[in-house]
Amino acid sequence: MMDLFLRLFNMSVTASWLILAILIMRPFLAKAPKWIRGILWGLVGIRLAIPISFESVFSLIPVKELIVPSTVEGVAPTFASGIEAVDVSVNAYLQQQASVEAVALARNAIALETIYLGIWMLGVFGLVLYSVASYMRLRKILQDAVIYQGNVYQSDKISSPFVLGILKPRIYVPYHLGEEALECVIAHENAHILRKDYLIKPFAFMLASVYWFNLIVWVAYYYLCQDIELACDEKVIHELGFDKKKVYSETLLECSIERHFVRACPVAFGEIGVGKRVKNILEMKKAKVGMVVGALLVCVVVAVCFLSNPKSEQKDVAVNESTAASAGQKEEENHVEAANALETQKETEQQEKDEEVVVDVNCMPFKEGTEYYVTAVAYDSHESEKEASNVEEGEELHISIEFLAESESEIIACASGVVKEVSSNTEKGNYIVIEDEKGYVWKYMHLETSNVKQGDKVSVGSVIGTVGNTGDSAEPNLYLETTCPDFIDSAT
Amino acid sequence: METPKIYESEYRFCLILWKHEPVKSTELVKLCEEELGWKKATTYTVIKRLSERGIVKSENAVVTSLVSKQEAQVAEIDELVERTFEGSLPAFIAAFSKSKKLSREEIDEIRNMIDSYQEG
Repeated sequence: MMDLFLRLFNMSVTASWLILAILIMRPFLAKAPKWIRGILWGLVGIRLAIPISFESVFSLIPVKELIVPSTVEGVAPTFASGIEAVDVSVNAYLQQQASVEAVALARNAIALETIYLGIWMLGVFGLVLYSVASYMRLRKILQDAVIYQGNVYQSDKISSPFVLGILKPRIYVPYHLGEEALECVIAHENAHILRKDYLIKPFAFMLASVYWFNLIVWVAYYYLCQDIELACDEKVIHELGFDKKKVYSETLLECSIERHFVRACPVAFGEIGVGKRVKNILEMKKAKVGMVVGALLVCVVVAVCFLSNPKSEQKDVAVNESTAASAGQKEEENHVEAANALETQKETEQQEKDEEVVVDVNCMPFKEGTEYYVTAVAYDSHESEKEASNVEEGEELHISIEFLAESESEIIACASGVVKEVSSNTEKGNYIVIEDEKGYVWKYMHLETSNVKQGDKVSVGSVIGTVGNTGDSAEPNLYLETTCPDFIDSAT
Repeated sequence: METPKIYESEYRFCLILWKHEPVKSTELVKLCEEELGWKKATTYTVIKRLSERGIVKSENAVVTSLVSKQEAQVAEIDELVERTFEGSLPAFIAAFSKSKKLSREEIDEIRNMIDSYQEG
């Protein structure tokens, strides 16, 4: 769920750029037929509804705001820190004295994520509920509408006409419209039906509901509705004849004045900007081919520039900043953020490396995609990482790292070797000791379960146990101790 | 006048009722479906609604009206005169005679209505 939410958030950000571009272009398309604008909004719909995207050099989407989760595979977009992360974390930690603070922050981060997710889902649920309820209320009110002809019904409860229904759309009009006015109204609503607007608008509203937190999407919805009405007006005039402009405009006005009756649900807007519509109708002229072609070209340009995403290399910086944006980080959480920046860069490189080189390289004790936080790091004999790399011979260097993670997350071996000991005591809880091929010792503590026994051979990356809270431990975590001095470097 | 207000859709229903009453509710349902495009449930709902307002009566599945067609029409005109002509009947008549030529029947009809109005 969290993954989905973040993915949606990112999609809405990229779509927002497209929407802004369209809004800027709209005035330039003023003289062109309005149905062309529908194409542009269709592009927005594609951007919002379809998670697949492709890259091109023509993309005008500003890099800094963009995440494309589908190309950064298997990585939990926000907090799965990677190898290099330890490096950066270590420094940050050594500078920052209280590791307790970090644990609290890590816990807050998880809680915050969940809260955002909850709020989003509530919002979607609320909106969907509201529109379903409005629709049903409207259906009930229109129960006693009397059939006029075909699929046209008249009701005394409405003051302006609209189309309602998904499978069998019906046109509902008020009583007491003159004959000519009725002709205009029915023509207009039929145009809506022909253009399938009675499906497009609800669909657009659904999209807007999913992305309810993004105001720009709502702005797009508003302008979409407006453009739909304008395009419909034009279609009607084309069919009825330009001589009907006046009658049609008058009907529009008449229908929009009385508002004390039932307001149609948001999915059935009928009276958007009457002034604008009348103006558009009266100014309407037969479209010139050149105009149409030009406008279509604009659409193509917009599509190319904004349907695609910018190329990969620039993305990692974006990932970091976007992650920060989406999680609403506090200042103190910067160390994790900084980690992510380098992480994604190395991640893709790492994946390529993994395929080439047979694994003799150390790795982090968790599978890809597992969420964990490094909450403490200590060096036994030295005080800084710099000194640590100049280990004198014979002097064993102990690096201890505390990884906060969800209980029962799988732990994998950091290096290939042999299991020396599988035991438990009051301090370490359940623990496993492994000696790797180079002779370095690795201790995994506070486990919930262990999957290996003494004497087993393990290869790097194989599952050896799960995260637990056994022994002298406050919350589920993996405490790892190793004598490998270049764990950090070699884990790259 | 105490004739309860009848909305347009309900009025169309009443027209059918006035024409065929007293009528079995099942028959009425069929008629409403043919002429108004109403589902069975709708017709029953409307019958119930109008009974509550004292416009129709449904006893033993037979429906009759409590307000006659004329009463309803007069009430409608009354409201129109109130709204559009500020209650001035003369103004109402004058408007009519200015805008179109009335036939003999129409004049008689109006005279009837005026008489009924004054009696109410």
